[in-house]
Amino acid sequence: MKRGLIRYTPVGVIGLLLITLPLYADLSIISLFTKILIYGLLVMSLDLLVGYTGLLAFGHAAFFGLASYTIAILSKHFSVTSFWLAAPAGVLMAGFVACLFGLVALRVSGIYFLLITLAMGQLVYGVVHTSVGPVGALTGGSDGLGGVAFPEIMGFAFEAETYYYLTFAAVVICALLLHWITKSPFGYGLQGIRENEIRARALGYNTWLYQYLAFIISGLFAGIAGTLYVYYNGFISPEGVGIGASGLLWLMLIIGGTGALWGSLLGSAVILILQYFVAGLTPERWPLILGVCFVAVIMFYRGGLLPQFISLWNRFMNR
Amino acid sequence: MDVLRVEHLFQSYGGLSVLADISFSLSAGERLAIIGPNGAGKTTLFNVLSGFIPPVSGRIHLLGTDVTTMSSHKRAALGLARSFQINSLFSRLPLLHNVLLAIQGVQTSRYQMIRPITAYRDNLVKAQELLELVGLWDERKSPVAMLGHGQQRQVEIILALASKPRLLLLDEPSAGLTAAESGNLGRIIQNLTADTTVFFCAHDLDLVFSLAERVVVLYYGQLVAQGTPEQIQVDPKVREIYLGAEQHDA
Repeated sequence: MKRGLIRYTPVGVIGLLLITLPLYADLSIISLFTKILIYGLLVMSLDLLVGYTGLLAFGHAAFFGLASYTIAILSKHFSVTSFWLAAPAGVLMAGFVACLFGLVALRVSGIYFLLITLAMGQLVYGVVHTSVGPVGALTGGSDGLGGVAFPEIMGFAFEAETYYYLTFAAVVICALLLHWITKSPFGYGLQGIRENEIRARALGYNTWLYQYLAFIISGLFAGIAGTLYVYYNGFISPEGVGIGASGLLWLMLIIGGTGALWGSLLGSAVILILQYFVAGLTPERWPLILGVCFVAVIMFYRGGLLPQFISLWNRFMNR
Repeated sequence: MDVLRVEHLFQSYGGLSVLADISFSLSAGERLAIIGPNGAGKTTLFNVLSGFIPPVSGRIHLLGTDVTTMSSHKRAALGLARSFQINSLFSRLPLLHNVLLAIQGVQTSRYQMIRPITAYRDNLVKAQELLELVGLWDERKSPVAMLGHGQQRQVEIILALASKPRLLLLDEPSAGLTAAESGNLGRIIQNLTADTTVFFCAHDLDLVFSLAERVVVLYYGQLVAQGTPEQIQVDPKVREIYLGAEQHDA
C-alpha cells in the first residue's frame, strides 16, 4: 500500500505546484499554464481517438475552434454573454458537428480517414476564414473575433488568476472522466478495436458504433477545451482552427506520447513552455526549433517523452 | 431445430469458384469436423459463416434466424463464436483484458464508460476459470504478444469459448500446438456441454477422430463426402484426395 502511494508522488508534486501556482508565479506564467492546461485537455481528447482507438484524426482543431467561435459569435452578434448559455452552446456545437463529421469520416478507414478528417477540418477553416458576405460578417473573416471577456458566474467576475483555478478544476474533472472512460469496458473496447478490429467484431463488438461514440466524445471534450480557451484568450481567429493548429496538436501528442493521458499534458507543457522561452529570445526561429525537437523525439524517443520520464522515475525508485 | 443450416452456398473470388453448392446442417450438441486439402475453401467457409464475407448466393440459418447478410457482431450476439487459423489477439493488451473483452462482447455492460472493466467481479471469475483451463492465469498481466506461440494459440481458443457460444467455429484449432497442448485442447472441447455445438476444421486427424461425430470433406469448394470418421477414413474418394496418406502434425 505504501509502495503504491509513493508511486503517485510525482503526480502529487506536480498537482501541488499547479494548485499553488498563482501564489508564486507572475501573470505571464499563470497565463502560460492556463494555456498548457487547456491544450493538455485538447490533446487528451485527440489521444482518445488516436492513441486508444487507433483513428488518425487530422482535423481535430476544428472542434476546438467551433466551440470558441460559437461563444465569440454569441457574444458579439447576439449579445449573449451569460456563461450558462454560451459555454454549453459552444460545447454542444462542437459535439453536434462531431456527430455529422463522424458519420462521413467513418465510412472509410486508415489513410482515407486521415484525409477526410483533414479535409473536414479545412472545411471549418474555410468557413471561419471567409471574409465576404453574411458568413464573413458573422465570423470576422481572417481577422477573427474578439471581445470575449472573462466569464461572470453567479455574480463572481473571473479574471486571470481566478480563471486559472477555474481552468484547472475543469481540466482535472475532464481528465478524470477521460481516465475513467479509458479504463472502462467501453474504453477497452476501443483499445481492442485499435489492436484487432476483426477480432473485436467477431467477439460481438459493433466497431463502427464504438468508433462513432469515441469521435463524438472526443469532439465534446475538444469543445470544452475550446470553450475554456476563448474566455482565456478573449479572441479566436482562423489560425486556431485549421491544419496548422491540428498539426500542432499532433506534435504535442507525439512528443508527449500516445496511449496514456499524461503524455498529452506533458506534450502540451513541453511545447508551450519551450515556445514561451523561445518567443522571448528568437521568435522567428520558433518553427525551426519546434521542427528540430519533433525530429529528435521521433528519432530517439519513438514512444514520446512520457515513457522516458516513467522509466527514469522507476529507475530512481528501484535504486 | 438445427443450430446451423447452410443451403446452397456459393462463393467465388472473381472467376475462381471457392465454394460451390455447399449444403449441410448441424443439430444441437453435435461435433462436426470439416477436412480437406489446403486451398479447399475451409477458411472461406468459416469467413462466410461468421459474417466477414457475404456469399454470392445461398442461405445461412443460425438457430432458426436467417443470418446470410447479418454483420459479424450481430451473429456473435446470437451465439456464434469463432477462432482464427492465424492468431488474432489484442496484441499489446494484457492477457486478462483480452479475456475480459471476449467475455464482455455479448454483454450490454460493454458500453459502460465509467466503472473500470476490472470491477465486474463475475467476469473476473469467468476469466480466471478460462485461463486456468490452459494454465495461463499467472500470466494474466503480460501483454499477449509476449507469450509463446503455443500459449497464444491456446488464448485464441479460450477467447472463442468466453461468450459460452451456442455454435463454436474453430479454424484449425490445434495448428502450432505441441502434442500435450493439443491433447489438452481436445479435452477442453470434449468437456463442453451439449449447449455448445462445435464445427471445426483440422489437418490433425487425431483431433478429428477423438472429437468428431461426423465429418464432411471439402475438395475444391465442393462437399464430396459425409459420414462418421471411420466411414470417411475408408471412403475411396477421400483416400484419393489425400493421396492415400494420413497427415499427422509433428
